[in-house]
Amino acid sequence: MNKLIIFANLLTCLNIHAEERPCGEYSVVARVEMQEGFPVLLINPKTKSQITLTTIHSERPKLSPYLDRNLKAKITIHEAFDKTHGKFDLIEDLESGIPDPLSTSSGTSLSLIKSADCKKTK
Amino acid sequence: MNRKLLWAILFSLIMINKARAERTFLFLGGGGEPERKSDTIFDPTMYLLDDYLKANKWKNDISFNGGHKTSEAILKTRFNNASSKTTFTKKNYNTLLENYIKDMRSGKLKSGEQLLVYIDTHGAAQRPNETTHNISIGNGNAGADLNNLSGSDTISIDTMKSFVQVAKEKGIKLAIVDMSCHSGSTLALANESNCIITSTGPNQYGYAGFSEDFLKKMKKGKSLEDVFLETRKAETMAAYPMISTPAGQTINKTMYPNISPYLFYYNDIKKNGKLYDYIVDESSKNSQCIRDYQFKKLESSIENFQRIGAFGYTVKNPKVIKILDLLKEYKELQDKLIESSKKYPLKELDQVIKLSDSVRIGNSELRTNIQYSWGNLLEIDCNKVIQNAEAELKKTTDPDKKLELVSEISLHKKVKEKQNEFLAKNPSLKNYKQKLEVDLKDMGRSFMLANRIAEEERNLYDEMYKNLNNSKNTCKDFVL
Repeated sequence: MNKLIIFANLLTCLNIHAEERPCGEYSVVARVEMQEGFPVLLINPKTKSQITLTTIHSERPKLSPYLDRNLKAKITIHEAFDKTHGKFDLIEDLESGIPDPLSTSSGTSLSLIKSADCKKTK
Repeated sequence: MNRKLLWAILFSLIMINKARAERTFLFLGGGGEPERKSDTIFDPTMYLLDDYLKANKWKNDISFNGGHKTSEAILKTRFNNASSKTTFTKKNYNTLLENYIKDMRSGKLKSGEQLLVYIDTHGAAQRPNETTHNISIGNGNAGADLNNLSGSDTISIDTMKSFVQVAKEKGIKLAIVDMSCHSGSTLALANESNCIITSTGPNQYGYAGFSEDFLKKMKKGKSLEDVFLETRKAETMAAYPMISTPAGQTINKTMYPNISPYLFYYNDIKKNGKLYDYIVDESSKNSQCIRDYQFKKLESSIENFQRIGAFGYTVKNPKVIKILDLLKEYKELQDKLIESSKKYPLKELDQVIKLSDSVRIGNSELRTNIQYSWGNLLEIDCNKVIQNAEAELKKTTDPDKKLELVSEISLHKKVKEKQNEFLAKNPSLKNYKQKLEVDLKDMGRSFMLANRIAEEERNLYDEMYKNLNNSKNTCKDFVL
């Protein structure tokens, strides 16, 4: 019985991690870093709740001026993503974000502005 | 005897109620908030206003935003005694003003009656040929540029001129409370028979907390002047609230133009906020002498207060010493920032350059089109991007990823060439990124300094205001 409860708990925990965020427009303050040859956005960098957001070819050059700094922008995500990884295909209204040394998330944040349907892929 | 006393009390109550009914409150606000939001930053004010109007029984018209679920619910479920509840659109605004003018002309609003216009929305800095300033109306995104409100529909408070004039002619006790950013410009509507109060100066941002606190402090029996002074003293942000009384105008005239730049700070509103724009402007004007002169004037205005404030002889007022020390510290920082900025042609850095690149591996081709400002282009650490991409290229076997990495390397090689060309023409911009980062770190101190100066200024203002001859004025006469 106990084993069953532990197993059920484990499943629930796994589910929490696999929970998807809605697609749509997000307001983001993130740190820009190079990963595997490309610039990416990091929310809550170097913490257990780090979210890595990659992007498509046309949007990558927009990130270059903000490398190793915080960036504030609006992003659009069309593919469902989980709590740790996602991919955005549009980034607009870019400006420097001010890092907050007192914040555990380095002043980064990700907040949904408007949800939209995710792209359905086969 | 008791019966007579009861009649007297009853008669007084009837008179008081009658007097209360002769007061009208017009609320205009909530404009310039993004459509996608369900609420607005002005909603907390609405709850407080509803409580105030309920408790104090003003006749009222409410014109508030619309298009935001929560805000609409506030309007729908509250303000039950409002004569009208409308969304804050240009059409409704014009209709309301026209109706009020008609009511004043027809005598429906009588001489001696109080009319309080309360504006709580986003506000722009004064535009050329404008007497007051523009405010946001309807939906939009005022936050896109809080200085000119380019992201939202606006209407100029200049449109209130005839309304103000008719109120004066008809002897209406008019008060206009403008809680928007840059609202100090609305003081231009002041005349000898009205009272104008603003949450900040003409070139300063205003903050939502002022309006909320003002409404909390509006209590029966207090004058608008009392409420203003109490709220101003309790303000916590680097704003400069203003009042149209003679004492207020004297302080505004002597203090505001010269202290205004020391209330600017670096923040993330519109790139870097008012301080960044001010530093860039000053560095291109070569106006150090003017800045020094203005600072001397500011110092002497504050020191003069020290002399007149202490029974005719000079006593070192600790408040004066404190604010002067802070102002000197902030001036030194601003001078340093302006001097550093002169090294960079910062205005040129906003110019845009377009880059195109194309790479091919076998039959696959990848094109890139990008535009950067020169400022952004110079900030790119090309070597870091290229090295990282090259290292990854050695590891990957995926042909699509290979093509993208090659493109990344090729584009940044091109960017590097452009950087070198630009720096050859503008050698002063070498290491621009690192130098600017040092300057920006210094700018970070500006928030603390501006807020400490604002705090000391509020204490000093309060003393100055009370020391000035201030016996009778329209804001004191406007008793709630």
